Amino acid sequence: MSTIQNKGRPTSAGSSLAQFIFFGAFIGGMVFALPTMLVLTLGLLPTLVAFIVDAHPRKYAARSVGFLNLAGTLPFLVTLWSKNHNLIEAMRILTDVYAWLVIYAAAAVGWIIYLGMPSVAGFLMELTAARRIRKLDAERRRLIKEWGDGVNRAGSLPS
Amino acid sequence: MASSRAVAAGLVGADAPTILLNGRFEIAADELGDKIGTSRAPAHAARDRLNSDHGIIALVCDPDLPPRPAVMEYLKGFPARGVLRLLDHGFVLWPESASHRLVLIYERPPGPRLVPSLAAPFDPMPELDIVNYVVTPIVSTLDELAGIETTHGGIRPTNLFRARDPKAPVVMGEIASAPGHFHQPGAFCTIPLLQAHPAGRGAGLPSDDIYALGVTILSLIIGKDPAAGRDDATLLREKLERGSFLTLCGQNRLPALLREPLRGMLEDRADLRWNLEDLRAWLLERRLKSLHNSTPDRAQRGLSIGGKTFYNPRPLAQWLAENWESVRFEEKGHEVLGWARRSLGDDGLGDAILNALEQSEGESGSGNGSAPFVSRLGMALDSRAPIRLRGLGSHIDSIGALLATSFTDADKTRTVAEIILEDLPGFRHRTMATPDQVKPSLPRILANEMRVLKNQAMGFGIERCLYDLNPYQYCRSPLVIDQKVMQVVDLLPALERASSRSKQGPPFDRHLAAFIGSQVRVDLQPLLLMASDQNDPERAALGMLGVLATLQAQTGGRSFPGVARWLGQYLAPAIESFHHQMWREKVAAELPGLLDRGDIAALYMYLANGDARQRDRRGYSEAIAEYARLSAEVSFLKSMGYNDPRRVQEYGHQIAAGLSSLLGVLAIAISAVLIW
Repeated sequence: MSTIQNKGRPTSAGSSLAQFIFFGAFIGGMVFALPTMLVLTLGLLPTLVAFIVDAHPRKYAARSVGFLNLAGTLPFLVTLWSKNHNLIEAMRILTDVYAWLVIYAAAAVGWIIYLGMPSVAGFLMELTAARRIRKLDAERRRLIKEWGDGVNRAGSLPS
Repeated sequence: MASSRAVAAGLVGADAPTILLNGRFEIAADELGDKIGTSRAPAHAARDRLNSDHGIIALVCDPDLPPRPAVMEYLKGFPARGVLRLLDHGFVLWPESASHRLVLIYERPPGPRLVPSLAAPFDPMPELDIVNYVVTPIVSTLDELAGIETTHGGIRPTNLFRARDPKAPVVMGEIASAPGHFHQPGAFCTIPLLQAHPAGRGAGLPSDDIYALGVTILSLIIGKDPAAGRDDATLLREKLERGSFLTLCGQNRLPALLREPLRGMLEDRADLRWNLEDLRAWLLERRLKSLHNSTPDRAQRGLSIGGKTFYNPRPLAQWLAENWESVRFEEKGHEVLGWARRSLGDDGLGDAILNALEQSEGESGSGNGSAPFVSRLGMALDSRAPIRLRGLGSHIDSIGALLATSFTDADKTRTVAEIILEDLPGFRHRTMATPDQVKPSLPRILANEMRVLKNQAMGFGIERCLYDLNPYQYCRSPLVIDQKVMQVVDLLPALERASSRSKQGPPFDRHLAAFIGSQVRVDLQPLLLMASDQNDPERAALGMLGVLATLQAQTGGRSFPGVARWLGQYLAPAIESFHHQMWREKVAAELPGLLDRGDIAALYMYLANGDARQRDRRGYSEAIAEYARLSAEVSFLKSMGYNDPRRVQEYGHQIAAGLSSLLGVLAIAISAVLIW
């Protein structure tokens, strides 16, 4: 019991710290880099949505969407930083349909990967299991050959 | 072949085929006839290599008749002149039958038998000759035998030898080749001896020899068998009813000189019978022992059982022994106790009867006369009688001999086994008139045999009793019974010879196990128990092999390839018990060579090799565990346990997260490269 409690404390503390740093950075960003924060906040909305709807503690959905969403947003942020880092330039990006398409398409790819990967994984696992069964059967046959049928006490013969 | 003259003279001819005993005595294969030997131990001419002038004969014993080992030990080299000198004894492989025989080497008797046969009348002997040349030497010899605590058990006119000179003293014949008193005709047996089976008479008491001497004197006086025409049962009945003196002397006129000594020697009560001291006093001073009234006390009131009324306990005991099947007690035997205490006034007898009643409590049918109960009651009523059960009688010291001579009769064998199991010898010993005459170790030995008998494992049971109680008993295993093997050292050679014949079953059975167990001075119990394990063929095969290997190691370690190959046919379980294929192949490859070598001990060490077996067993256990683990995993995989949707989803999402991370980083990196 105590072990579980002990394990829980750093996690909770770490989570609070992360939240504190996140909000600190967010407020800092809003104050000192408003154009960037504007593009970033609106561009990463799909990730925010994924973070909210994903109940899993490890936030696989947020991670799947987030990385690609960020990859889709980052070229526009670089453009912003390389030209004029002001609200006009930020608004130009935010009103560019092509930019929205790239950013949200990247996020969509993340969602597609997240939703489609279990089926792929199932198929892969089946393949792995079949290969594992073949290996185990070979090992069982070797044992029978070496030690006789007596080793098979449960009557389970290799296929 | 020895010349007929040489054979007749008891000499071994130079060209005669001989059998060598103990590297010293040459024995001719031809018999000398019945002039010297007994009906069951024919005499053969013999020659002493160390002293060829020494006149000797060899008695070749009947293997079906147990000898008297203790007497052989006592008499070997015994210097008495009045009894045939036993020079040596040992075992030989008899050429005619290819079977083993016990041979006794005796000094040649000084002349022919005093009386060739009791079947026909013979010339009576003058009374003074009887005293001087029969009684005097025999009493002297019995005195010497008493000094080594041995009885003769074979005094009769046909077992006395005398030189052709009529004034020469007689020499008593041999007594070691058969159980005590076995060859004695009924007349020469006291009542307790006559009540027993001939093989169950035992060594008897010194007073039994004096009784036999008395009957011998009587027959020499009258020139015939005093009981001629009467069988043993009739004789016993008459002796019990009239007493031995009247039964045997009858209407014969006895010389005045011998009348009273005969009355003293033929007294039926052993404690009142003349003893050696009385005889010496009579021989030296013609002093006669005063005779006491030996008439037993008569009960005031008779006891009625089975339509008969008894006034004395001894006739009642005899009647019980003869009618054990039909006897019925109205008060579960307590009426006999009441009669003994009230009408006979004998508290000692009453205590013995009470002992019998208490010991028989709880036996089924004891009230109506179960056989052991009737036996105990009979022993309590007659403190000198033998153990009598189901019509079979034996004294304590001859139960082994009785078992040996009765072994082919299943009913008698069962009865002897019951005697031991019911501890009747123990009861007899506690209630007998002369318990000090029985060797103190004997009741202990028989009590131990009771435990042996209850153990039904190989090497125990009735077979083991047979060999434990008869040190010279040949092995009765059907595999070697024709070879009459009496010494364990001869057993493997006998099996080797048997291996060349048709072999049915393994070279091991209950008799072989019991014979080996009895004679080998090593604790074989663990191996015998292994050999008896019917549920584990591997243990049984290794147990059998272990017993024979121990036997080989104990008896010189000669090579026996025939036995080894014979064993090899039954070692499959021991070989198959090796689990690892490598071991099996190794054993299968090396075993034929080992079998051909005939080294059973090495074969046992090879197959029962503790280290290899342990490694094999350990590996086998691990293989079983490993197989079970693999099978469990296969079952899990086949049961689609791995395909649990939650697990698949979790796994899929993990991959998705990883893949997205990878793609994202890749895209960022490509963007960065393109931009810069």
